[in-house]
Amino acid sequence: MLRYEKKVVFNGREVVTYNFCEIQINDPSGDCYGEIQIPYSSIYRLSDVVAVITDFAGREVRKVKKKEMTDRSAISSISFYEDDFIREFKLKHNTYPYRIRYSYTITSKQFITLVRWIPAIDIDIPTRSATLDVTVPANTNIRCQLRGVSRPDTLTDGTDCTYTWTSSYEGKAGEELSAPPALALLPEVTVMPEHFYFDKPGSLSSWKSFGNWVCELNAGLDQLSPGEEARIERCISNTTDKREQLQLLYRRLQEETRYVNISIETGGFKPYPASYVAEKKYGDCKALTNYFQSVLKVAGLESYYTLVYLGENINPVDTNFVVPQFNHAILMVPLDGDTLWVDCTSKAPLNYVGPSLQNRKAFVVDRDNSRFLDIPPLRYQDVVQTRKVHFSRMMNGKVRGEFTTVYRGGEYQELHYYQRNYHRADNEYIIRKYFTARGFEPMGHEMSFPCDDSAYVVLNVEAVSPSFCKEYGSDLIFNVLPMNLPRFEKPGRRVNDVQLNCPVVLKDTLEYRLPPGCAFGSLPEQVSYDSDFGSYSLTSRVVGDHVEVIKEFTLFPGHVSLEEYDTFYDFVFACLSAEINKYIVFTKT
Amino acid sequence: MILTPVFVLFCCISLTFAQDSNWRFGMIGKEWYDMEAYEKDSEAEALVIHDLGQSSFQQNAGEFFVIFKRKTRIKIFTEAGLDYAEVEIPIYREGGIYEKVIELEGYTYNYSNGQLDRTVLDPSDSYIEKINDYWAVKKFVLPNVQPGSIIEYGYTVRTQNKYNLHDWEFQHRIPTLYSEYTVKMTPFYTYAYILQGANDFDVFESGEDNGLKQNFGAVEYKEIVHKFGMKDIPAFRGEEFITSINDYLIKLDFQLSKINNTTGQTFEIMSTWEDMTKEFMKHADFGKYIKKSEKSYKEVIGENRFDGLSDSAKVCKIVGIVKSNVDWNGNYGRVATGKPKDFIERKTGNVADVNLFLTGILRGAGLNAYPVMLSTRGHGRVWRDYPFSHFFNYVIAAVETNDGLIMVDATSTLCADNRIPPRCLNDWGLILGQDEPVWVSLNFDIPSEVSYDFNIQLAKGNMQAEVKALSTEYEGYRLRSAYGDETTELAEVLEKKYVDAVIDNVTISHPFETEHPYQFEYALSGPVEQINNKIYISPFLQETVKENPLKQQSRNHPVDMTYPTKRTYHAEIALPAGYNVDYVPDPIKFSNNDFSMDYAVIREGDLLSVDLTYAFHRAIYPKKSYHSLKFYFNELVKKANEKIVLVATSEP
Repeated sequence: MLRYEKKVVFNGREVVTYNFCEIQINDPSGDCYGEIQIPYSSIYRLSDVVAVITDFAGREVRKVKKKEMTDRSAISSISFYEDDFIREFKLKHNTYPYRIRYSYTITSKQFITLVRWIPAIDIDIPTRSATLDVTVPANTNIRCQLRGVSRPDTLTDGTDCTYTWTSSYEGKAGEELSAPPALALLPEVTVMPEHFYFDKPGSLSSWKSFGNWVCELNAGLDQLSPGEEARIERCISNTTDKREQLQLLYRRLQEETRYVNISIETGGFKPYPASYVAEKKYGDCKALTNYFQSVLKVAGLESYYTLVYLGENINPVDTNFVVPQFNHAILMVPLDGDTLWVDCTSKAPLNYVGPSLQNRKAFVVDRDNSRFLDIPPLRYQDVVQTRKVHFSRMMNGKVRGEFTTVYRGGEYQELHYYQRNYHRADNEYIIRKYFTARGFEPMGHEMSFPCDDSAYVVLNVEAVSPSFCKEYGSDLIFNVLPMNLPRFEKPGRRVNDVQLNCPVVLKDTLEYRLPPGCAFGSLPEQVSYDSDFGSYSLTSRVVGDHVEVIKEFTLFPGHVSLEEYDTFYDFVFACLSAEINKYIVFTKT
Repeated sequence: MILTPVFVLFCCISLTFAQDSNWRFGMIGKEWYDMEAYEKDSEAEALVIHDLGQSSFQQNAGEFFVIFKRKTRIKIFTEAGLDYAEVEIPIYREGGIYEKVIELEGYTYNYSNGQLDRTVLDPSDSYIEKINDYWAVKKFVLPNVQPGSIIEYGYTVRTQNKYNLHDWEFQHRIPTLYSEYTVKMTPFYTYAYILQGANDFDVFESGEDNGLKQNFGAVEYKEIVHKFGMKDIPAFRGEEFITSINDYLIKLDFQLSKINNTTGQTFEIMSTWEDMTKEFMKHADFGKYIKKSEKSYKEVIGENRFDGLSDSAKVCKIVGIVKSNVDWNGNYGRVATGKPKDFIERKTGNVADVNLFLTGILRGAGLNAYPVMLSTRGHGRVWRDYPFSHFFNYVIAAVETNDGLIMVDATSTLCADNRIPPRCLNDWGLILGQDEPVWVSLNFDIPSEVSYDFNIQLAKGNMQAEVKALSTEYEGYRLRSAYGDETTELAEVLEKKYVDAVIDNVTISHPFETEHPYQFEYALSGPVEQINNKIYISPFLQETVKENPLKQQSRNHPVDMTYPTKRTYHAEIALPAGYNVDYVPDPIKFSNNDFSMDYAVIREGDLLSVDLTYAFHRAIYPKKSYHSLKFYFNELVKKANEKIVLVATSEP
C-alpha cells in the first residue's frame, strides 16, 4: 500500500470519515487487492465512492463507473441475518505494475469510538505511508489507544483541534502455528471522545461509566410474562438448593433455546428483550444472556451480564483503556463463594469454560460497580487427551485396532457439536476423516458423553489397517502409532513469537498383541525429555501376551519469544523425531 | 439415474388442488406429536410430512403472473433437525421481473404434558438478504422450535418470469413422506418437464379444472391441472467424490416451450437445440457480443504476429494474449454482462464476458471458433435429450484446427492455453454457431501424470536423497495453483512431511509456463530407519499414497475422480558398504481397463532400482466398481509403502 489516509471529522453530533487508499499491484498475485469491498449499514452511511486505475507513473487509465459497483448483504458466518451491506467493485489493469486509488466517505450519528485505524490491508503487505487526521471541536476531550504508532501532532485553530498520526508497516509473515492473533501484530490507533452516542448517550471516562451505559442499553429488556415467570418457578419448585436451581434452569435454557443471530441497527450492542427470547426460543449471545439473567432474577438468583473477547487465540483486553474490546456476552453467577461463568449459547455443562473462554479478563456489568474479573485458565486435567489402543493382527495380515480416546478441551467441544448438530452419516464422515488414525479404515464408532456435568467425550472406534503391520522375511513389524503433535516452522522461517493459550497434553497406551506363531522381537527404546516448554516420554515393555507402549507429551501454556524459539523448536523437534520411525518387531518362530 | 421422456402438459380429468391436498394448517393428528423417530430411517434428524407446491397463472392488467404457493410441514426429531426451522426462499429480480414473497405464514406446534402449544411466526420477523444484483433470499426462523416440534410454513412467490416455472424437488436431505406439485396451466403457455432420479410418480393426475371458466382477451378457457406426487422418498445423503447433488436429487424440471397467443398463433420458445442455438447466436449478449468482439482483434493482438504458426499454436498464443489482457471476476454465466468495449475497458468480467470475447478474437484471427455452453461440475450435468438452456452456466470456446477441435478458456492463467479448467470437465458441451448444434465430450482422456525420481545414498545411519518431480496436465495445474513459484511454501510443506529430515535446494521449474510440466526438486538428508542390524528404506520416501482415500464400506453413487491419472516412481538406492539385501518386495504386474500397477526391484551390483507405475484409467467409476477400486487402492498403498530391508554383513 503506497498511501492510506483517513480523515475523521467530529462536529459533536456526527462523525464523517473520509478514506483514501492507493495500492500498487506488482504482479497477478496482487490482483486480489483490487477487489474492493466497502462495508456500510443504515447507521454507517456510505457516500462519494470514487475509484481509479492508474499506470505505474500515476497516469489515469480509467475511472470506475457507478454501474460497475454492486451492493450486497454482508452477513457473517455466525449470523442468520444482519442489516449490514457491502459495496464491491474490482480494479484491474493488464500492465504490471499498476496502481489503484479509491476513496469513500462514511457518515454516522451513532458511534462509540471515532475511529479504529489499522494502517494495513493485509498482514504480509507493507504500507509505505499512512496518515490519520482526527478533527474535533476544541472543547472535546478525546482519548486514544496506540499500538506501534507514535503520538500525534496537534493543530488547534481556536474552533477545532486536529490530531495527526503517521505510520507505516513493514508487512510481516502470514499464518504461523500458534502465532499471536493477527490483529495484535498490526499497528493501530483507536480514538474516542469521552462522551458518545449509540442508541443512548454514554461516557468512556471510566469502565464504571461504560458499564453504566451497558446497563442503560439493557434497561427494561428483562421483562417476562407472568406465564413465563410461573413456568420458571415451576421448574425449580422441587428444590431450594440454589446450585441445583441454577442447574435446572440452565438445562431448561439449553433444551429450549438456540443460538440464532439476527442483528439490526444497534443490534451489535443491544440485546433483544427477554420476552422476545421467551417467545421465539432463539437469540444471539446478548439476547440469550439477557434472557437467562431475567430467568435467574425470577428465581431469585444473582447474576451479572458480562462481556468478553471470545476466541481460542487470546487477544488480551487492555483494561487501561476504556473502549469496548469484546465480541461475546456471558453471565457471571456468584454462588456460595464461587464465581460461575455461564455461556448461554453453549450446550456444554454448567460453568464449562472451554479454550475460547478460558484465561482472560471478563467485564462484569454492574451499575456503578462494573469491573474486570479473571476467568480461570484451563488446567492439565481439563485438556488431557488419553488414547488407548489395542492392536491385533488378523489371519489375513490386516491389523485390527480398537481405539478408545477420551477427548477434552477443543476436541470435546467439536465432537459435542457434531454429535448434537449433525446426522449420524455426517458424523461417520467426520470420524472417518478427522478422528481415525492414518491408514486405518473405521468399521464402526460409538461416541458417548458419560456424564451431563463432565466436559469430556469417549470415542470408541474399531478400525482395520491393511498396512500397519508389514512382513519382511521372518520379521513382523508394527509401527508405534504416532501422536498428532504440533508441527512448528523451522527456526529460520519463524517470524512471530509463539502464543500457547492452553496446555497440550496427550497420553497414549498402545497394546500390541503377540501374533500367533511369533515371539517377541525388539521394542522401541525408552525416551524421556524434559524442558522449560514441556515434556515427552516413551516406555515399552512386554506384559503377558502383548507389548505395551506408553507415551506422554505435554506442552506448557505461555509465551515463547523469538529469542527462545530455537530452544523451543529443539524440544518440539526432538519429540516429533521420537514419534516417528519407531517399531515393534515380532519374529516368526 | 433415470430420466423420463419430456412431457408436454395437457390432459383431461377434473380435480382441484385444495380438495386433493387433504391438508390444512394446524390439522395435525396426535400420532405426529408422539412420533420419536421415523421407522424407515431411525437416524433421520427430521421428516418432511407434507411438502405441497402449486404453480398457477394469474391475470393482471393484460399480462400473466406466475403464482407459486408452497406449504410444508416438518417433524423435528433431534437438535440436528432444528436447522430445518431456518427457511430461505430465493427471489429473482432483473429488468421487468420482480419476484415477491407474499402470504408468508408459519407455525410451530409443541405438545407436552397433554397440552398443545402453537407459536405463530410474525411475518415481520422475516428478512431479505441481497446476494447480488439478481438474487436475494427471503429468510425467516420459525419460533419456539425444539426436538419434537412440528413446524409448518407456507408462502406465495409472485413473479412475471414465465420461462422457468418453479422446479420441484421431491427429495431432501431428510426423508419425505409425501411431496406433491400441482401446476395449473393456461392455454397460452406450454411447458415441458423432465423427471430426474425416478421412473414414475406415485400420483399423477391431469385434467380440466372444475372451477369457473376464465377469459383472456377474446379467449375463454379453463385451466388444465396436472398433479405429480411421490410417497416415502428417502433422504439424500451426499458422498465424497461426486460432482453435484443436483445430478442425484429426485426432482421435476420445467421449461417454457411454447407461447400461444390469443389469435391462435404459436411461438416455439425452445423446442429444439437448433432453435435455442439460433436464439443465442442472435442474442445481444452472446452471438452479437462475439461479432463485436471480433472488432477488438487489432486492439488486443497489437504487434503480435503469428506467421508460420500452425492453427493450434496460433490458438494457444491468442488465448495467452487474451489471458494477459483481461481477468475473470469469479462469476459464472452463459451470457455477457455488457458490451465488449466496456469489458476491454474494465478488463474484468464473468466467464461469458471473457470467453465470448476470446471467441471473437479467435475469429478475428481467421480461425473457426465457436462458443461452447456447458455446465460446471458443481452445477450438475446437462441432459442432452432436453433443450433446456438453464442446464448451462458456463461458456468456453472451441476452435477447429488441422489437429482437431481444441477447447479453450481464458479465465485461468494457471491452466494450459489449450486446456479448459477442471471445473469444466463435466460430461458434454454444446457447440453453438455452426449449422447444427454439435455436442462435444468434455471428458479428458489423457492421463495427468506425476513422475518422481529418487537418488538415495546411505552412510553412517544417514540417508541423502535427491528428488525430482514432474507433473503434467491437471496434476501440474493443481501444483501451480497450490505453490506457483513459492519455493518457501513448498519447502514448508516438505519439512512438515519429513519431520526428522533437513530439506535443501528446493527449486521449481516452469511455475507459470503452462506449456511445460510443473517440476520441482529438493534434497533431503536425515536419519535412516534402523532396528538392530537392519536398515529399512522406503524407496519412494513420503511421496506415495499413504492411505486409501475410499473408506466407506459401501457406495451409492459413482466415484468421480475428474480425470484419469498415472504415476511413475523410480528410485535408485546405492547399497552402503557392509550391508547386503535382506528383503525386497515381490514384483507385481497387473492391468485391466480400470487400473494397472507394475512394481519391480532390480539389483545391479551395488545399485538397487525400484520402479512403481500405476494408473487409474478412468475419470469416473460406476458404483458397482467401488469395491474393486477400493481393493486397488489398498493394494497400491501396501506395495507403494513396502520397505527394502538391508542387513549388516559386518560392522559398518
